[in-house]
Amino acid sequence: MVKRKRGTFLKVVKRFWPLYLMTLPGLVYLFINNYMPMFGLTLAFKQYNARKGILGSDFIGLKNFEFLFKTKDAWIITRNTVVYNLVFIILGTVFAITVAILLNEVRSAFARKIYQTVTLIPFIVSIVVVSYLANAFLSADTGFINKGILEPLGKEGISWYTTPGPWPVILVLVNLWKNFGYNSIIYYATLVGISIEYYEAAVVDGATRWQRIRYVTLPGLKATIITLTLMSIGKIFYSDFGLFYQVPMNSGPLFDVTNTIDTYVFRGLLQNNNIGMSAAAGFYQSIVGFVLVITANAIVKKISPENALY
Amino acid sequence: MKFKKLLSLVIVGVMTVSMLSACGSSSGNAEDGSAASGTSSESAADDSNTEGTEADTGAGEEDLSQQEPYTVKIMMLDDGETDIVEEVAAAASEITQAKFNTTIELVRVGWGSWAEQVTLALTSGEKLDLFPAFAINSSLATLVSSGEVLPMTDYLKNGCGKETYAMVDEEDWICTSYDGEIYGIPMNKGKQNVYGAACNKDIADELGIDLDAVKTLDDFGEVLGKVKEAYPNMYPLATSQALRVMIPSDTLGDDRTCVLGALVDATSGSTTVENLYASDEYREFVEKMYDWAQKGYIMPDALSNTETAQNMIRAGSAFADFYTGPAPDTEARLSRECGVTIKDIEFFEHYKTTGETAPCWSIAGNSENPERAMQVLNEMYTNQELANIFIYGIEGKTFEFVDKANKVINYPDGVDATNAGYAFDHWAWPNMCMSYVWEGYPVDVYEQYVTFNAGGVLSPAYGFTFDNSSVLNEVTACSNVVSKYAEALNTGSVDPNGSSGSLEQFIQELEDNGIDKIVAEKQRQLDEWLAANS
Repeated sequence: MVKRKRGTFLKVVKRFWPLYLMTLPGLVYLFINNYMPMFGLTLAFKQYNARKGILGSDFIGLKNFEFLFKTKDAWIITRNTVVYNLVFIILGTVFAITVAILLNEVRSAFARKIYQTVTLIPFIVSIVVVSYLANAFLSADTGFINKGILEPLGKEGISWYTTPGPWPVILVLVNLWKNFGYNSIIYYATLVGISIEYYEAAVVDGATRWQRIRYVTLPGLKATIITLTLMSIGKIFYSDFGLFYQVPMNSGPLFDVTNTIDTYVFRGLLQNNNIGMSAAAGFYQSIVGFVLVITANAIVKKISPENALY
Repeated sequence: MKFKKLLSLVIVGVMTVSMLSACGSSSGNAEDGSAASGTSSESAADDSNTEGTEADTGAGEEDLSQQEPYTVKIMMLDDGETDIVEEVAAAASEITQAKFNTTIELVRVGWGSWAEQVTLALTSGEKLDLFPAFAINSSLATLVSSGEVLPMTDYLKNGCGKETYAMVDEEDWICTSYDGEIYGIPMNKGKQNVYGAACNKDIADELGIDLDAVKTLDDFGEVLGKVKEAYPNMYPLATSQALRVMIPSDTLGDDRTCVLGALVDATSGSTTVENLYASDEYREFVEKMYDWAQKGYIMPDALSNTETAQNMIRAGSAFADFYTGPAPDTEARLSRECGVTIKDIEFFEHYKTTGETAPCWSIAGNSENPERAMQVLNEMYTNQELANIFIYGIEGKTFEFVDKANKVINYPDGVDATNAGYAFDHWAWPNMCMSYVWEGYPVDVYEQYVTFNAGGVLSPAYGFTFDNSSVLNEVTACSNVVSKYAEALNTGSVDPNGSSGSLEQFIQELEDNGIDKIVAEKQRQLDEWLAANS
């Protein structure tokens, strides 16, 4: 059995060798860039010493991981990371699809180009610039919300950077604003690929515009939605460092709602610069992400096998 | 068969590509190297006459110019444009070529990415010989224990570093020593802890305020009150960075922004390590800051403000800034940076701690030839010509003499700080006192430094370096707690006795995360150190 499989593999290679040759540079790149550095993962279990090198450093077991769980904040940072990411995935997907469908309904090609460009711009803006845009709204002294809205209404200004309450909403809004353009373009690209005949058939059957979206467009997007969601689930233990560090201006009183695994590790290791511990944090994040992707994929495979990633 | 053929073909292809790229980089280097040595051998010929006298100072020993060629790579803080930095390196190489047959490679890294770049160079095994062990977020103890710096005791006491060894104060060496070995040459800069404020003298004069009479924080508060009254739109106290904690403590190696265990009053002679944030002094300080913020002395957005104090004072939106910068020339420097006359006031007696003395120049663990690196470092410390090439760059391009007799310099015409292309941080080079004097600074500024450094109280822990490796988990957790609360409290943004972010919560969370363990460990190491060094 195994032998026959090998045989067919060789036969396939023989037949399609130009194609294999073409993938080779990519595979080599992947190996050098993504697989060779994995030896660095051993750092998570070592007390790194530059003179002894990565392989020669002393092995200290799981000691580097302790700091992630020993703190009282372990629960808060894990909760913040996961819950924010879940909200980003759900709202982000809904919002991006809505925009993609709206784009698809725009008739004028010129207008569509304009909208596409405009929605993409926030994605290109650096997060540091975004943090100052947010600051222009939120600054206690000169900010638009305090000076332009609250005070003219006779209400007292809010010191936004010391009030944790509104920040979950602010962060979600900023993230949506920044990322919806990019995702909606991916969905829009899929939409364009849905054959026009389905729509024509639906129109012939008397489907309303809403029904066309519900029964033609959304099912057509299903594969893309699942792929993108699975990929975001793999990153659920990572947080967008810029968003959680720059946008709240690293303001201490907000930490209960803005501290995530990445910002925690950054702030903690700023003081002692321990490579082993940062490697451990990264290792932990990737392992959890890996397990989550495998699980999610297995679930998808159970429910609708043709849409699973692998 | 065909497959094998194909495989070998592909391997050959890949190897050719990688060889080509390897050749590309190495031939590039060779070109640089030969170009540099070309110019320097020419100039070595020209210079041999003029250099002769210069070299006499170090003569009387074996001729080092016949050594194997070697390149010393130096990494240095603050910006420099590539072409100017290359020119500086070439000029420096002229001197070191003639003397040691050593070429200099200089890399300058801006403040923003300094810590990252140096850490990367130290840990990645990249070639690096000399660097200032300063502002890189890890103490000398950490660098030593991870093998990122090399001991230099032997070179200093019996080898090519003898001259430098003789020039540095005996007592300062213990600040860069660890387990009996010296790991760095302390920068010859201001070494005192001074807690005070820089004030806009023009405004003080206009309001008839006598700044010389200001001796305490309370006096200072009154001054701020008067300024606020006269200029209601001004927030008198600038809050550029985290407002400094005005308590004369010895942080025992910690950065002032995150103090986990300290001698709260370093001038008192007490050797009890305490949690600074739980001390009465800290409570008093943050209550005062909150009071000031309520009175409008500190801007309400202090936490998210990123404007520098210098800019705020220049723009007239602030009157003063707390500072902990030690120096006889601070007034001159700040006056230049702020564009107004700056007057310093000081709140406490000067005192010396390991933290101010320990910034030093070290030999990187990756150095291929530490002895050759030490030769250059010694020359940087003792040779005025070389020191000034490194510090100020190229005469006529980045600086020019205003008064050659007194060695006073300024920018050439049409050049200023924004376009010189080479940043001056004379204090961050090994020996600032070798450098020329900037116009506007006192001509005898370096003599003033000598007197300044000689005075002051010595902290009882002077020379002690803390090794935090046994309490890393606690340090990581507590660092997070400190960044959560300290800045807000220090800037008076939150009420220390209020419901959100109060001082009580701060202390409680620190204790929950094991500050007591850190304090106890610090105390243990300090006691041991005191016993061994008394």
